Amino acid sequence: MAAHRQRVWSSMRSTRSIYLTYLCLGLVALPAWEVTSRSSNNIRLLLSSPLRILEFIQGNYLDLLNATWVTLVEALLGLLLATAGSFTLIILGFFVTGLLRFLLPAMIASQVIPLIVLAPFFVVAFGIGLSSKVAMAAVLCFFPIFVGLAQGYRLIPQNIHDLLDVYHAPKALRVLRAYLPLSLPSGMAGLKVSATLSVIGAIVAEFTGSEVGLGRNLFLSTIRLQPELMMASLVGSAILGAVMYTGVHLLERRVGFWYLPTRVE
Amino acid sequence: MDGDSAVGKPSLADAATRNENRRVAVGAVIRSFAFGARPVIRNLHLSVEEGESVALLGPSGCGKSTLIKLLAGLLPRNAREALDGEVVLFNVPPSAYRATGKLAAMFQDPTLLPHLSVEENIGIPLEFLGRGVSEEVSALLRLVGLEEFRHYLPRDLSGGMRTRTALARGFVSRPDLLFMDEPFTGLDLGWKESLYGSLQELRNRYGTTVVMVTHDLEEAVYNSNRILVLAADGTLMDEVRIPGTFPREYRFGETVVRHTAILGRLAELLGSPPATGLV
Repeated sequence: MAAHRQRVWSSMRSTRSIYLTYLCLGLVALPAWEVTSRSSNNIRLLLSSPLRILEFIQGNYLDLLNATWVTLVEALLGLLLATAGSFTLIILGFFVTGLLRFLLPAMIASQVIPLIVLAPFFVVAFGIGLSSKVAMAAVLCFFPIFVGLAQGYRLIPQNIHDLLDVYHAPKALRVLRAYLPLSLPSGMAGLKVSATLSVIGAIVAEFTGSEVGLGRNLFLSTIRLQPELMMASLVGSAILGAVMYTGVHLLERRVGFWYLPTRVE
Repeated sequence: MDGDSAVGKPSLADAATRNENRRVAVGAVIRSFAFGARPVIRNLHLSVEEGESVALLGPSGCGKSTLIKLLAGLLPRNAREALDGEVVLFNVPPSAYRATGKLAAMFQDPTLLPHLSVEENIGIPLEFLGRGVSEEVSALLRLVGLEEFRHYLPRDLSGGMRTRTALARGFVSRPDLLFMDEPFTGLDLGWKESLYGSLQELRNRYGTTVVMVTHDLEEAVYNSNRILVLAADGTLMDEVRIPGTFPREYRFGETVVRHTAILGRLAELLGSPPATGLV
């Protein structure tokens, strides 16, 4: 017990010291950034400065929040659509013999194509509104989740299949009690990758054509040479990525209680 | 079912008449069975009567595990097609017998579902068979001494406790026939001894016929009435009957003293080079 407490304490202490180091680095880097940007116009035009960015955010927070919100909705809808789609397809694959074996090579091959190139196509096909961004995010997110689930299914040990055979388990129970749960660990790994991909998909589709959003802000900031807008949008995208990832992480803490390492708390 | 076609084949009917009071639980006539390139099992005639505990003993690589999978009908279709011979469980083919829900199996590792608790894992065969979880689960939890751990996940259990869970699961459907493929491998002596006790108790309680594959001579002698010794080339080398009833009235550790001659003979059989014509 004492040894356990010792271990918990030392792990907490080391985590804390890592965060402390990050904080110190930030406290050094930010003033250095401020000072250099004041001394050089080139750097100011390229990177702006922390205080200017802060000022810009203060002056335009409603617009910035709105843009972030729009991009969040696009990314989230795309991720949800992809999750629903990949789970539906994998369940279909469990039921239809041979379907997975037919689909998987195509799925894996598609991973080689940088699907983000479809962004202009979607904007042309679905217009500059919400749907083209959702479509881009969904397509980008679909494959990691589906391939993760399929990989998890393939890794189910033969003994489990034998167990299901011995008791003559009906297909629906096989899927519900074994295939789906046992595919979940690698499916969740795919979902985590997709959580950040969804933001990328939405932003890149916004580059191509949109009326509002972080991607549009980023695009405008380059043609208008507005480094403050660019930096503020960067902060927004970082927060978005973190929110999406944290959301999936929290979801996994709920559904993955049986495979996640037990946390030392 | 096509099971009826199995009845009346001369070789199996002969086996059935050997003891008129008892049915034949497992009847197999395997002229040859080639799984992969080389023949794994050859000229094997096997008959297990209802209520018997039979151990299949043999050197590793002689096809014990393949044989038990073949008997249970668990091999892939293309492998089953490579069988020259026939297997019946209570007079029907294995696949038809499985559909009756009277077959159970234990594997080399406990094969628990990692996301289900001990209690749910024990009850899962009932769910698969559409019977609904019964009182049996609590009774079995008590019998294998896992009552306190009923809500634990498999990963929080020791190896011995996982095997206990698998043992309880093996009996929860009140099976007529249980196939075991080296389920106790890798456990320490204390665990094995208590597991053997539970196995014999449960076997009696449900009147289950047990066919167990093992490479451990003492385990085979302690837990069965009859031992079939397979040779390295997949033929049946010898058959040894073990006197006594279940549960054994002596401890596992005394097996060596009580069955010295049998163990000596088995060791000699298994130590001898394969295919020396000992049959």
